[in-house]
Amino acid sequence: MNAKMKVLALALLGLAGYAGSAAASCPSSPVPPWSVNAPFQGTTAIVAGGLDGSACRLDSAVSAGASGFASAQVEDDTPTAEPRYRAQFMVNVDALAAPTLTTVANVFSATSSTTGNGINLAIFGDGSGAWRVSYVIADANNPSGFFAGSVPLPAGSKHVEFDLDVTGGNFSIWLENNVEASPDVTQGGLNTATPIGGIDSAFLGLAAPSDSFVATYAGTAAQFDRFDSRRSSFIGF
Amino acid sequence: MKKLLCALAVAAIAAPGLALADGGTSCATAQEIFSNQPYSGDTSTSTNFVGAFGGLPSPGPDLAFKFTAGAQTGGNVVVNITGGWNAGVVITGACGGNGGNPIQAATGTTTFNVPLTNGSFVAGNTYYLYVTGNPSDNSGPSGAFNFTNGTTPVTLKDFSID
Repeated sequence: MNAKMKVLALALLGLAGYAGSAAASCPSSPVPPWSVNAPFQGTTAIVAGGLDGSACRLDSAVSAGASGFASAQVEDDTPTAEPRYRAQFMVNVDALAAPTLTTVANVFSATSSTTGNGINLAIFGDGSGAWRVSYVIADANNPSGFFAGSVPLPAGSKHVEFDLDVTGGNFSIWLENNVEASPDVTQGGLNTATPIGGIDSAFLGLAAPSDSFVATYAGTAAQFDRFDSRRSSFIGF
Repeated sequence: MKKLLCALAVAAIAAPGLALADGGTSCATAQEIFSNQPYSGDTSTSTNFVGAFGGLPSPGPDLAFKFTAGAQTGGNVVVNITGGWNAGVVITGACGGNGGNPIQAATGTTTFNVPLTNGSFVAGNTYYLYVTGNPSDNSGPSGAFNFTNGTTPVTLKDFSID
C-alpha cells in the first residue's frame, strides 16, 4: 500500500474485512469498521454469504411505507476533503425482480461534509426488465448543476468502480470491467471543484427510494460487499 | 415589577404565533417555530444551500426552520403541498452543507405528516426542520407549502401573578 492510500486504508477493511472471520458468525454490527450505521426507514444487516466468496455481506432494505428520505446505508468517514476519490463495491440486486423506469433508489454516495455535494449512484429499471446504474455528479459547468448518465447493471454479483477527480474535473466508471485503460464511461471538463470541494464521507446501501421502489421492494434486500476506496490507484478485481 | 414580568412573558409566548413567514434561506436565518402554529412558504424563493442529508441527496431548494425540543414532543407536523410538487420535509440535528441524518421525515405531493414522536428528540436540543424536494427526485422539485407544527414545547422562562 503506498503512502497516498494510507488515510483511506480503514475503508479497505470494510465488508471485505469480514473474510477473516469466515469460521465464525458474521458480526452483529457493521461498526466497526464502518464509521456509522444509522438506518432510517430501512434496515442494514451483516449476513452470511459474501458476494466475493468471503463469509459475509451487507444486506440493505427499505421498510414498508418508507419515504424518499429512507436510508439503509453504512457510512465511512475516513476520507478527509479528498481531492480525488476512487471507490469500488460489489452489488447484487437479483432479488429485486422486474424493475421499471420508476423503481429508483440510490446505492452509493460520496459527499463533502462542507458543501454536501458529491456523487450519487442509483439503480433504476431500463424499461425492459433489467437494471441500470446511474451517476449524478455536482458540476458547475452544466446548466442543470449536474453531470449525469448511466450504464447497464447485469444480473448477478457485479463490481462497480469509479474515479472522481474532483480537482481536475474528470470522472470514469467501470462496471464489471477490470481494464483500467477502458472505462465504460469517461468524462473530462467538469467543474466539480467548486460545488464539491473534496470528499469526506461515503455511504453504501439503498437510500432515497422512489414511491414505486418502496411499493415493489419494501423488505427485500439488495446485497453489497467488497467496499474499497483509494486516492489514486485503480482497484480492479 | 411582577406585572411587567407577566406582560413580558405573555408577549414572548404570543409573538411567535403572530409570525407567518417563509422560513430561512440559510442556516443563519433558520426561522424558529413553535407548537401548534401555522407556517407557510415557497421553496422556489430559496437556493439549494443544503447539498445532502447524511447520504441522501438534496436535489431541490431548501427552506430551514428550527425548534428547541421540550420535555415532551408529540403529534405531527401536518404538511400541505400546493400544486402537487414532489416535496420532502425532514428533521435533523444539524444545519450546514450536509444537514445530517434524518431523525424524522416524510415525502409527498399533497398532504402528509411528519411525526414528532416523543423519544426521538432530546429536551433542550435544537433541531432543524427543512422543507425541500424529495431526495428520490433528481429534477430538483420546488414550490409552495404550508404546515402546522405539532407539540414542540417551548420552556417558559419566567412567569408570575400578583
